[in-house]
Amino acid sequence: MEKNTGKIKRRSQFSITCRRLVSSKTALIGLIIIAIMIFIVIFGDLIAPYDPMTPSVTLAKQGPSLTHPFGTDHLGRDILSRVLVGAKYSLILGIIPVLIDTVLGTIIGSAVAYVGGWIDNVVMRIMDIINSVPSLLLCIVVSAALGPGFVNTIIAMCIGGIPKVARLARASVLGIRQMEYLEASESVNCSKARMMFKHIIPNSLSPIIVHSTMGIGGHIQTVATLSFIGLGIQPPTPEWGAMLSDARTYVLNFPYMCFFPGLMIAIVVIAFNWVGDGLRDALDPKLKK
Amino acid sequence: MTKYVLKRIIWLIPVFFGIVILIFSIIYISPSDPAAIILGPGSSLQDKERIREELGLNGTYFQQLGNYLYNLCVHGDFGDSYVTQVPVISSILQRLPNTLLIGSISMVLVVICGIPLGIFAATHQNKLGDNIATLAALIGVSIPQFWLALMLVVVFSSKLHWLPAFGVSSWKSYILPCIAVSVSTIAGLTRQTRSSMLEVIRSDYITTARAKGVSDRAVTYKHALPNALMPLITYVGSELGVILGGTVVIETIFTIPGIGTYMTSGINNSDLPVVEGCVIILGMTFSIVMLLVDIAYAFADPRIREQYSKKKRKN
Repeated sequence: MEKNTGKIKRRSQFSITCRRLVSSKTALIGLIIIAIMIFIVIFGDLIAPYDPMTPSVTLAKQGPSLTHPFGTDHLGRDILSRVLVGAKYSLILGIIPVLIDTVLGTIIGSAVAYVGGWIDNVVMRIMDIINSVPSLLLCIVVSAALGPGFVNTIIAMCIGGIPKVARLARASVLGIRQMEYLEASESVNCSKARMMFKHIIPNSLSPIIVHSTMGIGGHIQTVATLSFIGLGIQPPTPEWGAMLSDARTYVLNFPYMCFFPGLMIAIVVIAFNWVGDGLRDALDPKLKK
Repeated sequence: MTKYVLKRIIWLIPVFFGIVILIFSIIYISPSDPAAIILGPGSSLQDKERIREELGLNGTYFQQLGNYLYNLCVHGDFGDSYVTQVPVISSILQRLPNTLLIGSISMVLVVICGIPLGIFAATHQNKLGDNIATLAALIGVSIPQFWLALMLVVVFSSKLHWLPAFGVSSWKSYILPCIAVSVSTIAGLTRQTRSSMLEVIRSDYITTARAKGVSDRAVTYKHALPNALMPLITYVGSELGVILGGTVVIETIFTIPGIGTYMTSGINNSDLPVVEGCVIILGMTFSIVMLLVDIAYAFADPRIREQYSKKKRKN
C-alpha cells in the first residue's frame, strides 16, 4: 500500500496518456502485436528457419506442413522465413514516411497558421491541389516516375502524406489560437516563440499523433499495393506486397502462397489501428476523468 | 447560394491546372529516356535524338509544360503512348466507362451498407451486435484491398465456381471487383457513422428530446441521424479517392479493361504519357465529385445556407 504523505503525486501528461492507453484492452493487444513485430524486424534474419532467398526446385509449391508451416513458394523458398525477414521492409516503409510526414507536415502547417496572410493562402492552395489527387494515385505516379526502390518509395509516400498532416496541423493550431489560455498568456506578456513552442504546438499535437498512428497502417497497405503492381520494392526482396505480387499467378492452384503475406499485413495494420483508436480516446480531453 | 456554387465551380479551374502542372512536373523529373523506350534496345544515338526532337523533349521545362497544357486545353490531347503510338485520350475514353461503373456501384454499396451498419453499432453501443460490427469494420479497413480480391477469387471462383475470376463477360463479372473495392470503405464509413452518431447522442438536445418523452426510434432517426449525417457527406466524398485508387489495382487483378489496367500496363512498360493521362483524368474526376459533394453539403447544412442568404440580404 502506498503511504499517504499528504503530497499530490505529480504525473506528466505522457504518463497519464500511457496509463489510459494500456487500460484499453484492444490498444494493449495492439501494442503487444507491435512489440512482437519490432522483435521480428530486429531479429527476423536470425529466427528465420531457412534461407529466405535460396531457391530449391525439389521443394517448390509445397503446402503448409510441420517442416514448412506457411508452405513454400513457386521457387521452393520457405514462406515463413520470407515473411519473417520481409517484416522489416513493410514496417520500416510504413513508419519512416509517417515520421517524415508528421515532422514536415507539422512544421509547415503550424508555420503557415502562425504567419497567416498570403503565405498561408498560397501554401494551403498548393496543399489543396496535391490533396485533390487521390493519394494512392499520387504515390503510383511518383513511384512510376522515379522508379522502384527503397528511397524512391519513401519519397512517393511522403508527397501525398505531408499535405494531409499540414492541413490537420494548421486547423489544430488555428483552433488553439482562439483559446482563452492563449489570451491569458498574451496578457502576461508571453513571447511569441514561447507561446508557439510551449502552448500552441504541444496542445495541437493530439490529433496529429492519432492521425500518424493510424497512418502507419495505411502506409503499410500502400507500400504493399505499390509493390504488388510492380513499383515499390521489387522481388526477390521478401517485402510482403512483392511476395503477393510473385504469388499472384499461382493464386488459383496454390492459394496459401498469397494467404500468409496478406494475413501478416492485415494483422499489423489492425494492431496500429487499435493503438490509434486507443490513443484517440486516451488523448481526448472530453473523456478525462 | 448561387454565389457559393459559382465560386466553387470557378475554383475548379485552378485545381485542374494545378493537377496537370503537378503530375507533369512529377513525370518531368523521371530519369527514364522516352526515346529509348519508343525505339527499344539497340537504337542509334541519332535516332534517339530525332525522336526527342519530334516529341519536343529538348525544350526547357516551361516550354514543355506550355506545349503540354496547350495540347491538352486546345486539342484535349494527352500525347501518344510510347509503346502503341495510339493517342492516350482515345484509349482512356474507351476504358473510362468500366472504371466509372465499378466506382459508382462501389460508392452505392458503401452508402447503403456503411451508414445502416454504423447506426446499428451506435444504437447498440457496447452490446454484442456493436462489438461484432466494430470488429468487422476494423478488419475491413485493415485488410489490403488487393489481397481481399485474391481471396475472393480463391473462394468464389476457384472453390465454389459461382462467379468469374476475370474479364467482363456478364454482369456477374462486376460482383467480385465491386465487393473488393468497397469493403474497406464500407468498414471506414461504418466506423465514421458510429462515432459521429455517438457524438450526437451525447449532446444536450438529445437529452432534452428524451426528457420530453420522445420515443427511442424518433430520437435516433429524427433528432440524431440528420445531424450525424452532415460530417459523413464530406467523408463519403473524400473516400471516392480511395475507391478510385482501389479500382486501379482491383481492375488489374480481375483483368477488367478499365483505366486501371491501362495505367498498370503503362507502368510496366515505362509508358509515362499513359500513366500521366490516367492520373490526370482520375484526379479531375475526383475533383468534380468533391465539388458536387461540397455543393450538396452546402444545400444540406442550414448554417451554410443561412450564411449566404444573410450576405445576400445585406447586399
